[in-house]
Amino acid sequence: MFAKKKVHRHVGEIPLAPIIDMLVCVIFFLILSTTFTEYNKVSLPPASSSIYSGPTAENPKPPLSPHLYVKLEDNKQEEKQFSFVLKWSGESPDQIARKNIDEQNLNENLKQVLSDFKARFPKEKSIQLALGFNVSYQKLVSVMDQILPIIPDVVLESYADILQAGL
Amino acid sequence: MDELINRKIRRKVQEPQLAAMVDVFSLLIVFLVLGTVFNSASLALPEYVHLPISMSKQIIEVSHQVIITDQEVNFNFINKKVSMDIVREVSGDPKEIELKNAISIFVKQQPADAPLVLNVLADQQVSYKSIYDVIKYCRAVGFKTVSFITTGK
Repeated sequence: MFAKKKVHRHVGEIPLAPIIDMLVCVIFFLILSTTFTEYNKVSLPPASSSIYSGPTAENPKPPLSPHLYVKLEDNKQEEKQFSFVLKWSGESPDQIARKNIDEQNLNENLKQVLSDFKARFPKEKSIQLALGFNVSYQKLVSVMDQILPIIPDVVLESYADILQAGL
Repeated sequence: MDELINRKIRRKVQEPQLAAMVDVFSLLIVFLVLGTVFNSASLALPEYVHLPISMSKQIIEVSHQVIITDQEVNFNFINKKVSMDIVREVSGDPKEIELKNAISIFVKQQPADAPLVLNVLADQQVSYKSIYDVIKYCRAVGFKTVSFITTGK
């Protein structure tokens, strides 16, 4: 009689369904809260390898040596305003200037002026860039973003050189 | 007859195989995590530095870093943080000489065949004056190539 009696043990089952629900919710929040930051770089050419477009035996023309000066205007307006001038030497020295441009329109104006310059002098591969001492780093990067697709080498000049710009 | 009336219709309820599913999902998560490629160039950015935004698509390289604010410059590769005035006024100040010596020793220790690149990390609002002065200083002490580190647009 005792030998035949079955012992029923209560087997505790793990409630898997709510665990899965919870895990799915956790994954959802983890993915939503993840921020992917993409880091890039904007390079200046090595100081010793900047392209010098000066007169050579093969090319006796005087160097073009274009300079771009960008200045933050101090006209106490609510929105920042910039002026810039692109000057070059060579056989026919000239310059293109734009004054009191709103911050939003600066990049567009720069792109247009640089594209016109490139169309005129397609062989030119370097430009010297000077910004006003109070121009922000973000603006430097934005200006270089506009220049680099058009002219591949940017050489930075001192903020003191902006006095030569005549802005 | 009574048996037929009282007979309960037992439907077989199909239960999903949850245990197996959990196993598969766990394995899937492990594979996803292991398969994720994190950029090898990690940046240790201070909280106060918000990098500028750029359209550039150039991928950054692991290199020596300098963190610039308007007040001070942190040369990460030699663990030296100095005031901006030290970098600006190169006038034989003992701190400036010490800094220049430390960087020069560091530069000499680098392999001559590899290009010496400096990654510049600075807040968006740092002035051009500070950026230019530090770049000028670093180039004078041996760094030939300078890269501005930015975040993608």
